[in-house]
Amino acid sequence: MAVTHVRIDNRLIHGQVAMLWKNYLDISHIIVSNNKVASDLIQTQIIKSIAPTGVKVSVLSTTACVEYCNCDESKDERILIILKHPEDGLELIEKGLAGLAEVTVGNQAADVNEGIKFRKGLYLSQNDIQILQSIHDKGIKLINQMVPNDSPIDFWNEIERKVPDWIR
Amino acid sequence: MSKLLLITHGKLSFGFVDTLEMIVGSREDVFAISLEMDESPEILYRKIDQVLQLEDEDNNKVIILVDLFGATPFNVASKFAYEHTQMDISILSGVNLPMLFELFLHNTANPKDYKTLVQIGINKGKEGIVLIDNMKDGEE
Repeated sequence: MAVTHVRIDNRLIHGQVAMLWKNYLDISHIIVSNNKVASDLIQTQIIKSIAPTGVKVSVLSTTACVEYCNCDESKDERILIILKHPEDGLELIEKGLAGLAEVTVGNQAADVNEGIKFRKGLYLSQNDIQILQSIHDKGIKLINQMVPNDSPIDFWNEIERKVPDWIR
Repeated sequence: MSKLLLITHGKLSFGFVDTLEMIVGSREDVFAISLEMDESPEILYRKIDQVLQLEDEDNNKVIILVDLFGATPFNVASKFAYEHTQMDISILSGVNLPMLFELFLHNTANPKDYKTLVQIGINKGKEGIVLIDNMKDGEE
């Protein structure tokens, strides 16, 4: 399967992703997918200019990301998809990203919205939780794992325990 | 005089300023910003904006020193530089103390010489890494 890992991280490609996740998962292609970022020429240029060596980097709208990942051209790649916010994940699923089994929730900064703290570097609002619920309801497993050395955690289970009132 | 702005993950940037000032005394041309674990790139961008607000024409030359190429301080500083072309901004990654120390010395001695200053930062940062070991020749 081409898509190896889907990660929600509002810092996009940064030290943890470029140095830790890329190597750990032996990634050949990192796709940053968020409509706003994809339409920002400056940010797209910066993201491409910092590509770690030996890896292809693309910045795509969610529609273009799904098209690419579902096509033959990508089938031999090991793709890491980086999303800015939970809604990007829901968009990929609704637009028909093939073969997706799980989504990992990484960094979401405290100041992005009025969220509650799940751990250092991960804050989610009620709206985020409901978007994650929609992802969960489509049969996608939600994982939390900040860095490869952390054990993966069943994140939906944690949400149910921590914020039961926020679930519809 | 050019402004020197350090941006790092965590408090390393403040540590650099603290160490520099221990050697050379208090400075007004050196600034530090930290990216904390819970902060977004957007917050970091606003912090840079606050520090680099223009006060006069002489003050629009900046060297930003960041810890890691391709990491968030570097990425956000790059975006800021692209979006503020009315200022001269150069970003050097892999900041180390020899680099910072030489930048300070040259900036003090030649406050108008921005282009050379940038080159000095690059050269001294690399030259500052020197190996001495205790192995005999040919030993692995």
